[in-house]
Amino acid sequence: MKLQQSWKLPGKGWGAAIAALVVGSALAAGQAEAALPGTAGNAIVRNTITVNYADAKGNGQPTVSSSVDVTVNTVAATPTIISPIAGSPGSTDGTGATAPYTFSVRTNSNGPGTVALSVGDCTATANNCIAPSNMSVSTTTPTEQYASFYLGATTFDPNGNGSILGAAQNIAANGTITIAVPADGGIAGTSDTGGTHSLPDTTTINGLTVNDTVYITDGTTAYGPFIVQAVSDPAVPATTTNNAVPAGSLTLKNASSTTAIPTFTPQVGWQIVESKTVNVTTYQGIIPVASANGTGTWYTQLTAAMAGATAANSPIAQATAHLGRISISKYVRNVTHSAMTGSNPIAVTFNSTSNTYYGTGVTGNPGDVLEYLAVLSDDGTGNSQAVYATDVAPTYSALVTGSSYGTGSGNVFAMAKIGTATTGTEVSLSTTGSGQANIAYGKTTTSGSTTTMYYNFGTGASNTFPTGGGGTLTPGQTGYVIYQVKIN
Amino acid sequence: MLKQAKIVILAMAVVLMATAAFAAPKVEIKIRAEKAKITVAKDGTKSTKMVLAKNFAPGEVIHYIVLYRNTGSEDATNAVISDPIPQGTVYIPGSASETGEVSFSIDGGKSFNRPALLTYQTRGEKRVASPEEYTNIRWVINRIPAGAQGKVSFQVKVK
Repeated sequence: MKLQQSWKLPGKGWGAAIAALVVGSALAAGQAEAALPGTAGNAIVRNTITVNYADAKGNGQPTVSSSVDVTVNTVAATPTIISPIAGSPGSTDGTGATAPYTFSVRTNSNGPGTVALSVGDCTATANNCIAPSNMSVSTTTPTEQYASFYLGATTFDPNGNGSILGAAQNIAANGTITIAVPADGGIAGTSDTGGTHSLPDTTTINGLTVNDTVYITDGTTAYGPFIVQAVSDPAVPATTTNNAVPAGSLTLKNASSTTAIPTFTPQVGWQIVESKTVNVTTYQGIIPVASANGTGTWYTQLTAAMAGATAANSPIAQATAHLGRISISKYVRNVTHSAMTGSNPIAVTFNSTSNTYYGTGVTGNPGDVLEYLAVLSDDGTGNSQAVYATDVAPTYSALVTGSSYGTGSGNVFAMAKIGTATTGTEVSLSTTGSGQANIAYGKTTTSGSTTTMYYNFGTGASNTFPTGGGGTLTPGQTGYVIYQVKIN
Repeated sequence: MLKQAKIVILAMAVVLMATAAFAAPKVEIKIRAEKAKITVAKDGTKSTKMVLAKNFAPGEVIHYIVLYRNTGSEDATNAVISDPIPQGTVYIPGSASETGEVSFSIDGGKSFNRPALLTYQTRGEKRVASPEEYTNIRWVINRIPAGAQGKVSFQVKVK
């Protein structure tokens, strides 16, 4: 707000001084006063001027007067977001998981108005929020849900607060304070819940009514919270003496039954402002696994704005989303010539026999049977879902099948288990598609000379191929599968 | 015939005198609130216009314009136009029109003085009151002739 004033020395003669004074003080829409506004919106400023005069002989004549009222505007101000006040950031696991937060929003205006709310899905650096499709906002009002709410505000009246203004106030737990506030000129009792209800004007003053949560603020520090106990909002009389329109009043009670309000010394112009809580529920969507870490972090940011004045630096609630991540390693051993070993060994038991497989270095002669081992593990911090794997027999080799693993003629081509290197229920997988619930299913398909193996792992895996049958592995769960090929 | 005429003349004289005894001043007063509206023309020049206004934001300036006139048949004397500074506003120094004698009060209208003479004691020191402390303003106009009119004005800032 800019106030420009040019001074002119008063000259003799009527009207000369007025024309020379140019004062511009227009407030742009949405601009907040940096300093305390001082006077509540809707307050009536009344000016009653009187003339007393006498006749030519000096006899007093009847007094004459004239009066004009102007109304003070409500100036939009950026609201303050306090939060999150409840709901730990916590962590979520899986698409559709929810994380609830509760924010509190407080107005900083000198009068009542609507505060619009929105939530954003942001990056850690904030101010980069997009309107997500997987979030919702609701207020705490049980029966109605809004993307905005109406907050009341007023100021300490210069009259009627004589014993409070300039005096240190110590409000104990459950203590009360009664404050004179400007009458609101009979504005319609607007809804306390943001809907279309109307409250009788005498029970609401500038949008504040019984049971509202309010703070007393000097524009920098907010004292409270208080609960409104009583409201008095007198009608504005047609005439008043000495230009003082009768004030209304608010009785506030310390919302805490255990803690006193820190000492404060109110001055003319201090505000009484309302706050309301907002519940935000965020839903975890699909988080692409891009980083090397097993966790993803997602950010929820609430913004609140009054008539375009947006709260700056809305706090960000940060949640950790657990992500699954599959690591897969492959090993091999030469069944025919077990002496042909390699390096990077791992010992895994199948069929009650522990065999050692190698990550590199194993060779074989034509006719040798090689046994491959694949180890799949969820080494993330969350579940991996829809886990399935495909593999092909190496060139110049053919998949070995048997009536049971490694024997006879038939279509068992692999064995699988979930557990550790030495434990776990073992399942035989056949080329036509078979397995065991919550462990693994397998199948092969042949196209020309290429045989492709499909494996579905984990809880909920099914005999559905080629895709759609994968199950869930939890963090640390490991699956093992072995199959044999014969070198041509 | 002559006797009748005398009576008539006397009666007329009585009537004339009675009319003269009813001569009196009658002052009327009307106050309004205005705001300075600045418009910027296409070529960038700014012009200011005063407009009637009913709404003011905190920090804005209210221009009070007070018109007075004597519609009576006699001069009014010792007219005192008195106005408490409205609640929720503060007087803007130097803005009062210099009509007759302008003075201010800092004690709710009990006493008035020119700005330099508005003093009070605090901690043993004599201090000149600042305009924020003015509670009332008034103009004393010695004579408002019958049929004459005039204007006083001043400005306040909304707290």
